[in-house]
Order: sequence, then structure tokens, then C-alpha cells
Amino acid sequence: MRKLTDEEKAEILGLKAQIKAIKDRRKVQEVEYPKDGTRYWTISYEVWTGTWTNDLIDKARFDSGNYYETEQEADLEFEWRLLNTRILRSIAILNKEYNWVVDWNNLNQKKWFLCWDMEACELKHDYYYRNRIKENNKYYTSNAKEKLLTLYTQEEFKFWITKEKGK
Amino acid sequence: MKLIKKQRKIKIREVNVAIATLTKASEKIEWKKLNKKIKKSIVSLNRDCAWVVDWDNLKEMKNLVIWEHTAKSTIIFTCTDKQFVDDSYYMCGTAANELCTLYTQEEFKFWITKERMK
Repeated sequence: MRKLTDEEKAEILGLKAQIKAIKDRRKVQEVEYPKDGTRYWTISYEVWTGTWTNDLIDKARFDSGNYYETEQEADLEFEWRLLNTRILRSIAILNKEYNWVVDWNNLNQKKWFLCWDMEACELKHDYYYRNRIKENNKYYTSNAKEKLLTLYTQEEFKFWITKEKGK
Repeated sequence: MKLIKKQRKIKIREVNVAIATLTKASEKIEWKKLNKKIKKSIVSLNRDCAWVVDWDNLKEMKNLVIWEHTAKSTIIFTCTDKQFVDDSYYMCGTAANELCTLYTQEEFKFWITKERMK
């Protein structure tokens, strides 16, 4: 095995320092776990409330983002998840009807998705050929555009995209 | 003898299905953990810049880290008036640039697309 040159050693040291700096920056952003006895809400098949005892289940919920400080927050998320499942299922059904599958290697294929136009305050279809904003199950074929809009209200779509209600 | 072979085949298939299910479940947990970490970073970086997303301000640049399929890398996408995802994904320019240094391309791809780098 050959010995590393001084340049290579310096490069490795530099990279190590960079990695350490990134780790340090990530560590600074870590938040401490809640205090024992804190009441919180979590989502299973419905919204549950629990008291923080710092056990494995509490930590698993917290680490995976299934920890809500208020009941309203958890309710909103639960409602959103139900709607999300329904809309994604509709998209899947429509894509299947038109025998369409998202193909990122096909740069001529329009991948349609929904967005909320804040200026016009309305729902809009938009498409990309290769920029991926969301996961695959949110894209649909141009043939499904009109039908999809008839399945849900504007308010539901707005809530689905923005996770906000009543604004 | 034939029956034992058949049973063994069934067993192997069952084990493979179980492994696939477990892998899918662990990927889901991994994604949730990564999502929480990145979202926390976004909150903290925006806070450092004293920046809050404001959809009433159509001049404000809202930045999003997205995945460019051809280049197989992240790009910072800027918009002003069209909301593609919920507020927790948006950042100011400085925060977006900083965020890109905190996570690897593999992590970003997994976070955005829920797919691993191939």
C-alpha cells in the first residue's frame, strides 16, 4: 500500500473538519425531549393523548414527528392524513384508468400536479418534465386533470396542498 | 420429498415477503425521522434569518429544495405566488443555501421523492 502524499493528507483533514462542522451544526439544531409529565397528542387510527414519561414509545413518536403539543394540531394533521389518502387514491385510480405511469426518464412526459395560486386564490394545474417537488403518487396524466377537479372541493384541495384551513 | 420441497419453497416465499414488509416499514420510519430533522433545520435556519413565509407578500422570494432528475441533484427553486407544498418546506435564500450543506444528496433525494438513490 502506498503512503499518502502531504496533499492527500491535508485534503482528508480538510474533509474531516468539514464533516465535523456539519455534525456540529446539526447537533446545535437538535431539540431536547419534553419534560416528564408533559401532556401531548399523537395519531394512531385516531387522535390519542399521552403523558411524556421519556420511554421508548414517547421518544419514537417524538423522533418521527408524531408528537403534537395541542389537540387542535393533532386533529388538523389527522384530518389532513384522511384527505391525503383519499386524494392520492383518486389520483392512482385515474392514472390507472388512463394507463399512465410517471416516468422521470421520459423528458417529454408532462407530469401534472396541483398547486395553489395565492394571487388568484385558486387551484391550478402545473407540470414539470424533470423537476421533482413531490413524491410520485402526487403526479397525474393530463387526461385526468378535469376529472380530478370534480372529485373534491377547492377548499379540500387547498387544505391538501397548504395544510391550512379557513384563511 | 416433493411435498417437503414445496413446503420449503412456500416458507422461503413467506420469509421474503416478511423481509420486504420490514424493509418498507423501516424505510418509512427512516423517512419520518429524516423529515423531522430537515424540517427542524428549516425552522432553525429561517429563524436565524428572521424570515417567515408570507403569501400576502408577492414580492417575497420563497425557496424550496427540489430534486432535478436529469442532473441527479438538488436545485433551489424560487417562487413568489404559487404554493406547491405546505409552509414548512419554504425558506429564504440564505437558509436554502445553508440547508443544502447540512444534508447529503442521498438524504435530500430520499426526503423529496421517498426513493433511494439508484
